[in-house]
Amino acid sequence: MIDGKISGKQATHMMILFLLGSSLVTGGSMVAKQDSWISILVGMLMALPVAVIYGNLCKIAPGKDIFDMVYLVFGKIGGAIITVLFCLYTIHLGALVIRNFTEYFQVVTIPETPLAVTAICIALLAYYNITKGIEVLGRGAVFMMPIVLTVILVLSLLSLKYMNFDNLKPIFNHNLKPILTGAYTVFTFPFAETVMFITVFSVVDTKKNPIKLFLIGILFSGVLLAIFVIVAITILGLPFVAYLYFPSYASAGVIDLGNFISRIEVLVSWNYIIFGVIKVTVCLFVSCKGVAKLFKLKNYKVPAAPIVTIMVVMSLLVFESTMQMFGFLDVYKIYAPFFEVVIPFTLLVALKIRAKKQSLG
Amino acid sequence: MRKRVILLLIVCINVFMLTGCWNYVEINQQMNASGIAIDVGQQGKKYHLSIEVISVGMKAEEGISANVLETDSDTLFEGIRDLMAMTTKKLYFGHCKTMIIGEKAAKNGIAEIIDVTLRNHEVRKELDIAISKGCDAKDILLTEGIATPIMSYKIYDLMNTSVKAVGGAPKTKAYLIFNSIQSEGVCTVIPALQIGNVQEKKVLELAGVAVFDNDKLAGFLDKRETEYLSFLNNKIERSGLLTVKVSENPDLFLSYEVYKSKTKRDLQFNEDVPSVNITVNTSAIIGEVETEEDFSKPEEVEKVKQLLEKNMEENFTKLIDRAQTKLNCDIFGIGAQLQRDNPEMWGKYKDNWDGTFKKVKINVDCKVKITGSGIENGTVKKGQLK
Repeated sequence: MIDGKISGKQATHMMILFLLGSSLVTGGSMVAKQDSWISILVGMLMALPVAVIYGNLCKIAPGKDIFDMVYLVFGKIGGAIITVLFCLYTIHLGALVIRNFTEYFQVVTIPETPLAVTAICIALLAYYNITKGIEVLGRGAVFMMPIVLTVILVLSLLSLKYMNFDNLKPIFNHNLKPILTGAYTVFTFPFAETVMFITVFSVVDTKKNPIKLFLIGILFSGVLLAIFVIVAITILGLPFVAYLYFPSYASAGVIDLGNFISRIEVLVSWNYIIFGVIKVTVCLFVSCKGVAKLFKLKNYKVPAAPIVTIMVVMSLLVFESTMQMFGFLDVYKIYAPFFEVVIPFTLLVALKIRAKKQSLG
Repeated sequence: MRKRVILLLIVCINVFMLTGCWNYVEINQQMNASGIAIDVGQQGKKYHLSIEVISVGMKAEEGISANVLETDSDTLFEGIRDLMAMTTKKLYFGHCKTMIIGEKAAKNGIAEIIDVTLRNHEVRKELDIAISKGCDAKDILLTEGIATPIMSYKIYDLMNTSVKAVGGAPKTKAYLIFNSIQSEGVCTVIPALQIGNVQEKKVLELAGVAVFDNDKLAGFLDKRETEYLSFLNNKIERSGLLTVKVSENPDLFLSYEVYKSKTKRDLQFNEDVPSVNITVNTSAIIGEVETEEDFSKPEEVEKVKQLLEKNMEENFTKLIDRAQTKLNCDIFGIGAQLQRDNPEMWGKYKDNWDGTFKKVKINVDCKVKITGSGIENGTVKKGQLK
């Protein structure tokens, strides 16, 4: 894996950790209250056809990332415009993710530390990952996955005795509209952000069908996210869960076995750090590729430093308070589908037409 | 060489940016609060805050001692800041295990207190909460502990172990109380503590539970009634003890050890108001006998069983009456059960559940299984061995 290629397994692991990423910190969408887990599963199902679009794009143009495809379809000027827009999207997404995680650490554990400090730490790590090549992240993701899964399993098992499944009732009681609203939010953030992985798959060297890899990633993380929400609701109960900023963290704090195993919610912070770094690195990777394509740079690692600096500074400026950060999801779901659905779909249609023309002519 | 310099630089930068250093507090500049007591404030202020603080002696002989700091303030945060100004040390609430709210303060409403507890990130949301009965909350903290000087930890142990021993007070973590205050279908129930006198020494004892209407104190249930409440709410975890008066003059009692109990509640909607059929299935062992019975005969066992069943049904009905007429609070969570299992019906009643609850017909049916009589078969028959 030295020559800049990662395997399909690494890409899938990266995708799962990416998707678990900041949606755990922002707590998903609690609009549907006790049916929030149904929201997540529905959102996951909504993301499956979109994942098929992404997989098809990767299949049709192997080795080409999304910016190559954009230039191919829209020409030089159109391609440049769309690349700029898309890079803005990925850079600001990276900034949002950095802000999510630094806000989490500041609110929950270290209130006096300025956000900038944690942001710089995460950013430095992402920068290092990129300069050493995306293979580092791929190997890292495969390595981290068992750690993450063990923590999740241990915490879920230890908290079994605090779970009260009556909290999930009444199930699906005239709740369709909130469930669908929540599902749509979950669809735009995080499931449809796998649009980033079209670029990641351009360096994937595998015989497996990319569609299958996308689907596995989304299904696995969707089920995990639904489990998290179920655990949180059964332990903490409504309406407390809906008021909390970080329900997964809080539900791990309840565990107290024999006064010895207690306060182990720190393990949740462990997980969050892993997720955060992976998500920021992927956003950085895609932004770097886009900027390199735009300015016709040979090596995509060159713009990494300036982009990550922009991300850090942007993360500090973008919100005034924790409340604004959580409220932003409502705005994000309005403009995100343009990048997540419209652009890939247009690309797919255009490329398919091209392929047909070429095979006929 | 260049690599080493860069590495050194990175290490130095990390040292300065060691996240967490901004929050650094020396351990002797910090005081650990182990318990909070909240009363109605004097001098026109809203709250009177008493915080039990642990101090570890510097020399080995001094050991651990606890002091109680008091202040009056309008908000809890202000009170804590005042105390920090008084003692010049930062109060750390990470080890705080109990919160006691005075009876009078509870009558004014506990919603704001619970909100502050849960919003702060240092105070654990698994805090145990208790209400002081018949005295101020700070008196509870000021009682001298028998085994340990730290009263709050003793209270915490008292509340947590007694659940298993006598089927006593139910779980009262702060976040659970938050949920039940907001729920319209159930009334919050919090354990109550009182100070009793044992050989002229003040001793802390559990005195049943305090019942809340929304977030204001409405009344108390004594220890027996609390146990019956646990039966009806299906919260008997491991064991309980029931004593039945068998006959008067002389007073003779029979004690049963309950080791398992499951309660089923069926809601029915035949009339305008729902009716509930509660079935309590209990398994008990005969514990202490003051009459003369021969338990090898099945009729005797049957007699004893029916005695308990009747006694339980009577007591449960009395408790239900009290809840419906005098306290007017749905401490059994029938509204909440309605909300969970039959939400359309709940939509009909939820606007005036307090009024509807009074009219709900609750029937209790107790089924007891006597599974043993200890390791003896008969009883001590006084002077009858011929």
